[in-house]
Amino acid sequence: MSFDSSNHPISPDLYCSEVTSEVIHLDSDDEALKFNVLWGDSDHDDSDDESILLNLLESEHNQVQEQTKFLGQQLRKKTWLINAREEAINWILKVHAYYSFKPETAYLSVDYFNRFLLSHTFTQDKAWPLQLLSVTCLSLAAKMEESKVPLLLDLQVIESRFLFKPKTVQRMELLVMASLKWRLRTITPFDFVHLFISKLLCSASTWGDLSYIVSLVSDVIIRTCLVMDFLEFSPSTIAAAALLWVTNQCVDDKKSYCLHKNISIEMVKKCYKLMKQKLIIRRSELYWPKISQLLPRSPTCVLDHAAAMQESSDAHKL
Amino acid sequence: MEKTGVLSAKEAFEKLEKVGEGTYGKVYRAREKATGKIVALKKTRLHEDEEGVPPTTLREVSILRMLSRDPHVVRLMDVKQGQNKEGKTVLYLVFEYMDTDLKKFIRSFRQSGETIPPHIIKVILSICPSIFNIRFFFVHLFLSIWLQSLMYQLCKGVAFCHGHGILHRDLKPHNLLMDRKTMMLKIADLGLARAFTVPIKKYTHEILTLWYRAPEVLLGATHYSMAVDMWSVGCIFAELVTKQALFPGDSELQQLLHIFRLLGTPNEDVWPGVSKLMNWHEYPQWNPQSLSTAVPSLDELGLDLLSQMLKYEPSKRISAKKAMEHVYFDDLDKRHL
Repeated sequence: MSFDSSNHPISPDLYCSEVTSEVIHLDSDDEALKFNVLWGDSDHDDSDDESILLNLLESEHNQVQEQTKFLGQQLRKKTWLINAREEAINWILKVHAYYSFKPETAYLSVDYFNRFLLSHTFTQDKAWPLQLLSVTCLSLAAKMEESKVPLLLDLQVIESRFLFKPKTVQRMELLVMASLKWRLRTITPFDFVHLFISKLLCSASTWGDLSYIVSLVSDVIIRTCLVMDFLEFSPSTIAAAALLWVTNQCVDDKKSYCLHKNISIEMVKKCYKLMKQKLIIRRSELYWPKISQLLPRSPTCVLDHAAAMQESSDAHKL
Repeated sequence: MEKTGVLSAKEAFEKLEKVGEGTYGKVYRAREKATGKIVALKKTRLHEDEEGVPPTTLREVSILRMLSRDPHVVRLMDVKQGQNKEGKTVLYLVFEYMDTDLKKFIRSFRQSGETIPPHIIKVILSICPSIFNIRFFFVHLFLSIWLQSLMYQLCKGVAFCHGHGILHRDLKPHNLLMDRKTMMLKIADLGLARAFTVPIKKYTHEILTLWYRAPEVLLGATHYSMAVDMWSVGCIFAELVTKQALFPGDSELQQLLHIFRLLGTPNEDVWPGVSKLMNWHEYPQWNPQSLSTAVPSLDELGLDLLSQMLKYEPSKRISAKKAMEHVYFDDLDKRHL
């Protein structure tokens, strides 16, 4: 069974292209050189990639068992919390865009948020606890990932109904970290993206601009944070499905095995299908800091980009 | 704020003595009252700027939580909150205790008379009567027995970190803990460590110790790779042999000049792209010297491994995993490492 993805859209980036160009410097002509620099080994061979991927999948397996697998089920029992969670995550993504943080920072913020929700109960009558949790999770993620971290007060400049003192955020930080057992360095889909790209490139070397692909994949990954249903998928599955989605490919056995034999083809298919359903529906609700100035190079991408813009304008008319 | 039934740091541990200063806080030897176990407590203050928990603490703790199952990374056992005398919140990182570090170990061999155990002296005296021969013999003995083992353990620990996407970025003898009895070596102080999803952005105000800093960092490269750690490993390797730092610069410029005097001033031929690095400018032109002039007592295989760790071009520098496979370690018994 294959999924027809000829109609899937290519959408604007969630974050600034400057950040993308700053973070990702891969150009098609020195792509091989960059990968060599990355791994610090002139004789870069597949076995190094393979062992790194195996380590990641092993760590991921250990991690997933204790984490957000069951959050989706819990959330469905409380309709108000689903909406409140989505509102909180939207706020996180707006601050993320405002400060041009890395995509990993956004994903980790939401990961901490989800894991905390898993082990704590919130009451509907008060709005400030979830806001404090949002500020705290974003602060922790920024400290883990960013080279420059805004002051705690500055993190709250955007559309905050409450303003928390640094001392309050610090106490919440300690509470969150104790709850997460200080495991802030978690495996994310971003750990897999480059490894998967380098594998797919071996089998289909038709994409012109790697940085563009990485940017689009990152955008899709971040948007999965907003949809509760993606909580059941492991980071590697999300990374695989997002890459296949962005590169306009069907999910079949060959592609999945190409990534890694330990990755479940069934879960990738399911995740891919969910991306197709949910991201189209939800796309118009997302916050767009700006439309990316990056232009696709290949004819296929041009056609899909035009289709995406058409669908986008249609969505806004509703 | 303290939970019922959960002991605070002061209640759970008895501080025995202060044993050092970590990158960002004091380190104590302590006894856990419940079990009698000896641990190391690393104290981190939180109150300095009221910006919450410092990023270095967050990174160190979360990375150690991820890496602690490797025998060559120091094990973080717990994190405790407490309060200092002024009532401010402090964090205590509870580590397994290691009785020394590589810096102290190396220094102890510079004062060779004080550290050789008496029973070894008796054995050596029966073989080599003169004082000169005793020192030379013992140094040679150390080289052949422990140098390979310590270097192999270091490469193995670094390979484990890199295999999990972690750069240490501050490898130096002080951060390599040792157990004198078992001669086990463990990587510690990961406060500057960070996970990489490629590539890693440049960090301003780097705190890397100068002597072990890779040339691409000194020259302002904006992208780091695992190679920065392997340069540090190479410097430590040489220091283990000679007991002196290989490149003891006291400023960034002096650090570069130390490197260039031995390895030759780099150019576009030996290091493509070097002249485009941010901090590059005109330097005195030195020709490369043989590494054996700096590390005279290291054998040929060791010199080859060292030279591969000290390649100028980061992508040509040997990886930790490949270093473990180098022929220098072929005759080492690795069963317990």
